[in-house]
Amino acid sequence: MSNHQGRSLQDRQTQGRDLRALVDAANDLAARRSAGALEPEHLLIAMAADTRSSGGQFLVEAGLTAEKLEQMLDAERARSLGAAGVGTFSAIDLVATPRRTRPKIARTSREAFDRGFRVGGHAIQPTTLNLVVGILMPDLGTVARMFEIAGLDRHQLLGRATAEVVKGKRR
Amino acid sequence: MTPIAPPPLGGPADGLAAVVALRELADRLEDAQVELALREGWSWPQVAQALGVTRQAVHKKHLARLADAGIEMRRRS
Repeated sequence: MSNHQGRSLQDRQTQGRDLRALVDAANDLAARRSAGALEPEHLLIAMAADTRSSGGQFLVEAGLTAEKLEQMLDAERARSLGAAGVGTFSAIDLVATPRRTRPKIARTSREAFDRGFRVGGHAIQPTTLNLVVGILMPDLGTVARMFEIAGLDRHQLLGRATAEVVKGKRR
Repeated sequence: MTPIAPPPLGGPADGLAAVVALRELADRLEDAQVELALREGWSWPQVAQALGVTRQAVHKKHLARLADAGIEMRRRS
């Protein structure tokens, strides 16, 4: 019996709710950071903040809490701005009431969903852990840079996440 | 030409990431400084003039969130 067939309707409804709640939380984070779009790094941080989800559990067990990931994102932005000769601003310069409009979902985020949900084939009911895989895959871009700057092995984490998705270890 | 596998850090990767970071910083800075100006009593037309955009454009982008924040706004300069 495949993993998909072996799962109840309740499991699938729970997973659907997890993904919707994740996008809502990531939108809030993107709005708080005044981001023009919902990017994969926002999804990753929001996921780590919810340890009830399979993706959140996996990240936190790997030492990647939401706080740690947001620090990694800040470090990436600081380095990137530094490359353009821009120093970091004091926190007070950037304090703002979050935007009310929902940021649009970036193409990079859509691709992360697509990539992640293909892992394991049709036998696997996608969970937030699939999305972790989709987000960690690209070798370029913000998330890859966050891991490189932090000195963390993204490939090793990607391998573990992929193996867990294929085994259907977490729901 | 053989495709290369560029590293995520250094060289063009840093330059391209700087573009992303500058766009995000410009948005964050605009949100913060528009809010600060309005809190200090600037009118919407004054903010628009300083940014070099129309009043309608500033309204569209910032009115909802700043109305929520309870900022008392001057309509005219």
